[in-house]
Amino acid sequence: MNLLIDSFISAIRLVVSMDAELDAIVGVSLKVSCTSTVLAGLIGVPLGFTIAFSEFVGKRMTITVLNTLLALPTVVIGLFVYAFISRRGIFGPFDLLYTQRAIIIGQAILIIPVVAAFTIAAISRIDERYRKTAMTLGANRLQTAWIVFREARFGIVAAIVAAFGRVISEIGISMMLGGNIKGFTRTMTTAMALEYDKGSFILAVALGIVLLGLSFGMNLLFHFFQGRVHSQ
Amino acid sequence: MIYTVSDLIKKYGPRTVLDIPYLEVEKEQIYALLGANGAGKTTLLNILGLLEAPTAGRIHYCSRPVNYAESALQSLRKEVVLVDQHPILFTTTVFKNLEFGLKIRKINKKERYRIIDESLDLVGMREFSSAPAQYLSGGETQRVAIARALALSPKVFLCDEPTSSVDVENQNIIITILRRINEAKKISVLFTTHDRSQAARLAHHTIVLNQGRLVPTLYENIFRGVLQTDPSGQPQCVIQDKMHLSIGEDQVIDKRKAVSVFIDPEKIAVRKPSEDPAVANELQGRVVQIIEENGKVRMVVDAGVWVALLISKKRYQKIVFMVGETIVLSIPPEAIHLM
Amino acid sequence: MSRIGKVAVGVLLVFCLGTFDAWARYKIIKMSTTTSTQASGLLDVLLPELEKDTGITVKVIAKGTGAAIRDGMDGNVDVMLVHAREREMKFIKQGYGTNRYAVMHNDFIIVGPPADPAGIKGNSDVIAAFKKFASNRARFVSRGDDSGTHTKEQSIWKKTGLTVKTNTTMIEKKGKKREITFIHPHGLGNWYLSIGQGMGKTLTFADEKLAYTLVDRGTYIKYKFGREVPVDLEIMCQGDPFLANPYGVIPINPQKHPHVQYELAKEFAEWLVSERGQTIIANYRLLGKQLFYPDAQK
Repeated sequence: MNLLIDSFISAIRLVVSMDAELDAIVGVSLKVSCTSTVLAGLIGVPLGFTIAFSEFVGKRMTITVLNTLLALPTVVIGLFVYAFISRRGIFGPFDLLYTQRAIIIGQAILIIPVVAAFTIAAISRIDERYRKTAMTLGANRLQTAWIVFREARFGIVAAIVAAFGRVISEIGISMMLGGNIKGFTRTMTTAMALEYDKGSFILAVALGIVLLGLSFGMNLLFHFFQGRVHSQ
Repeated sequence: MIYTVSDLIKKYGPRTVLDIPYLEVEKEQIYALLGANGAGKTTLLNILGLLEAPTAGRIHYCSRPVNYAESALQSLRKEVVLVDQHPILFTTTVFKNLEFGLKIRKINKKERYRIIDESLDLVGMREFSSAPAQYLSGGETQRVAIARALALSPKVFLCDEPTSSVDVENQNIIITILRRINEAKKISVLFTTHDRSQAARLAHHTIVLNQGRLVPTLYENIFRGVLQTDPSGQPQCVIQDKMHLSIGEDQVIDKRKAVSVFIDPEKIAVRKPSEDPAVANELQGRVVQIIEENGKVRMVVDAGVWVALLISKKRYQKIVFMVGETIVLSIPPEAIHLM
Repeated sequence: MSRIGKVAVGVLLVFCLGTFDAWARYKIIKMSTTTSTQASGLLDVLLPELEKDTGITVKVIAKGTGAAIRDGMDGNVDVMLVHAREREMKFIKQGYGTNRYAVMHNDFIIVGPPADPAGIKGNSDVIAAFKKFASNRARFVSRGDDSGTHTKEQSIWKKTGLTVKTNTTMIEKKGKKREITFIHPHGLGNWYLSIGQGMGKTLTFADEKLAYTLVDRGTYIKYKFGREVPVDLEIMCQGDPFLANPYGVIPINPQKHPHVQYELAKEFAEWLVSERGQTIIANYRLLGKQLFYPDAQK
């Protein structure tokens, strides 16, 4: 029990004193994850919206594929992106590997399906009558789409919150594409893995506390927005 | 004519839900669209509201053929507006709900405010202007939805069951609104209902749908019947083992035994009973109901099954019947429609 | 019951009996070691021979040096095979281990991109090479994971006399405050990349980023000669006595952790330093190259 208690006390001390190393790691994590979430949102929301809102051959198949991609392991994406941006890959000359950009690219790929699939689900939950009402009031396709989007807004925000929750806690991509460089690409999860390897748990536990806190906050937000969806 | 419909067919998969050879809707009139649930009323309304394309057939709107391509419909939809049976309001304020269609029509802000106030006044919902729409009651929602549609000054106002899901107080308010906009603004109104008396009170014209087809007037005179041949070899239709009606050979369309039979209430003749034995297609019954309707007299007679008939006032005044009296109905073969 | 069912039950039964048998023999010990030791492949040759001679089965738990020592301290294992002499001594001094048996050594080398931007090739002076990295701001990848290799690297930086930054973290340890230090030269995140990962990963990382790194010879041989796509990195600096990497085996002190299997651990350690164990170590070849040099005094 000593191990746990000691680690926990030291960890709390680190969190409370806003330890510089801890702050740097949390800062990198937030910066990278926020950027990839925004990027995925900018791509995933319109993508999901377009799929949900248009009729085309293979629509069901597309949705099935998207739902499959939800379960895509981070290491698969890591490997895939690695092959492209490695010094021997086709994007090698850009020197992207082991940079924050590399993590952002990988994470965005990870969560674009999440955002898109959740957006589709959010849109399809919206009563067909909104679309019909907008049309009968004289709205064109874009204006009709806007009405449906407005009605689905909480669901879409929930999609983005869920996506953020996924990237802030993933490790495969951060480790494989970021390389865990101290002060540069060391994120909360890669730092925790490292501290575990080093056999010193204090920083790992402290990061765990921060990560849990963040995840808890994210879940609260998610349920808040989900609640708004259902209370309508 | 605001609408001329010809050879309209609407199918959902293999099922034909509408089959209307010809229908005209006159300008500036109120039409009631009657029919049981599933008769195709809502589908017809959606097609007239330019929200659904027919499977086949032609529709002329204001003498111009309607092209059911999405891009062509948008400008027409600005003149035709439909309110659903359970209308949905956008999750924002009542005011913004009304503003949406006006903004689309690029009406300036000052004018928008004036129209919105006026429309809300019309339905008596002005004090709810800034209320969030999702918290209104059913009747209030219905009224706001009507105001939202009327704010757009449409030429045609389509209304699906406007009174079916609201309380009596709201029903009367809504009926008054419909009548007023028709009289004051000359808006053509077409509403569906299954309340015959409401249709009679409000509408200038009544359209009756049964299983996707137009039926001449009322829909009560529809029975399940069995076709057979009488001893003389003449085809005969037996309704619920109680009415034996001779029909013409040419009326038998196919070899089906079980059929739906519609008896046209305007073609049924009626007389006082005498000593003469009943001839073919004459049957005795008891009068159970007499009401005045659109300048005619509508009677319901219990002749084993309940049969409704319409006669002119003149004829009625000539031989006055009393409720409970026994009379003789004469149903000529041309009054019988096999379906 | 179907035939398949009977077969399945049979297989299960045999499996269980096998397990009971293993427990019945009760000659299983757990050993913590470093990933580089396991990666060298030596244990795969050594342990079957041990089992043949003594009947002892060793379960290997490979982690970074820090974690391996931690497992020893916590009594998670019976014996420890690591290569960080100072820390091993401290471990014994603190009473966690009974005795350190010097088993063998291998050596570290500095590898770098063939272009050699820092110009260190052919010089065996490791201190001079490190100074050149700093002055040329040549990319250097540090494991930064508190491993034996990392410990070695930090001691080299200290010896260069360059200004080094020391990060100190205060931690709570059994009610007492303790400091953990992390030494690195200036240029963190710039030319000096501390990545906190295992040796193999560090090597491919350096290869990707055209950087120098300190590596144990075994890992380098594997990545240079044992892969379909070998790393481009070449040996830049070797042979400095300071780069020797001694391994020691330490049985865990039963007075600290009464549940450890001290007798078996001791038997294992003594077998390693016996003539038989030492011969196997000396004869071990990785891709045709000798990796380990026996250290036990005859």
